[in-house]
Amino acid sequence: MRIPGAVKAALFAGAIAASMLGGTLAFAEYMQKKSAAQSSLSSTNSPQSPLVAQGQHLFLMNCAHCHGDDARGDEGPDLHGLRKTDARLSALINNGIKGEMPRFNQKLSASDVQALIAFLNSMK
Amino acid sequence: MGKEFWLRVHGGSTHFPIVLLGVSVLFDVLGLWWPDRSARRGLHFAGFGAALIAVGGTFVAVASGLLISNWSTLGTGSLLRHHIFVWPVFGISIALVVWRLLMRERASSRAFGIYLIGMFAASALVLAAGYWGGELALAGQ
Repeated sequence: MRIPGAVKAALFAGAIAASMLGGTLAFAEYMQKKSAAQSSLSSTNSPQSPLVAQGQHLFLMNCAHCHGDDARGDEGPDLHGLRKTDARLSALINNGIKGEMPRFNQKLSASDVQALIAFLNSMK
Repeated sequence: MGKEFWLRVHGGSTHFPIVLLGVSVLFDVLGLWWPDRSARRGLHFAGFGAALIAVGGTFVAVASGLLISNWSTLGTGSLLRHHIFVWPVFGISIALVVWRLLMRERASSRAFGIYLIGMFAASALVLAAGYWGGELALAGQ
């Protein structure tokens, strides 16, 4: 059976696209694991301030079941390297995101929120 | 080069595929119907050029996007919705441009029609990816 040139080209192009897509995803997966390993190593080596330690405790109690124990994301997003201001983080924690994240303004005090923000900022 | 830099690169580069995939389809469709033969060739040439630049922009956008999302390929919420559209666009646009590079002007009208449908789908998907990317950018403000 003779395969038409256009079909041969389509098979070749599909193979190139699949290998590029697969290669990109595999490389990103590898880099994500590498960066997570480096980050956990640096966090175990660095001393924590009491505020950050309090924030970490609050994070584990309130946030870790969605964002993961290492804050690398699970149901909720990865919280490392956030590019949000403290005011914006405070508003997000207090008011939540409709349909995506619960509000914590009834559960956490202003000082709790500050501690959580200090913890989040320590993970940059 | 920090995240701030790559965020700007991502913001700039994403607009190449967002605009040029649709422009490529437009030029190629006009090239099918335009009465003047030399203008038709010019329109197809412009359509292919736009597709090539769009795919080039896709590579830069994907690389910078992975850098700003800590190499996340799926994520959650708006990032997940963004990625659901990004990865098919990445694969489809590469496949179509490589196919056209190989076929040049030897493609039958049927094969070229299938190519155009694929490019139209890619341009629609990239608009959806851009919408969710915009939601992500606005959520950071």
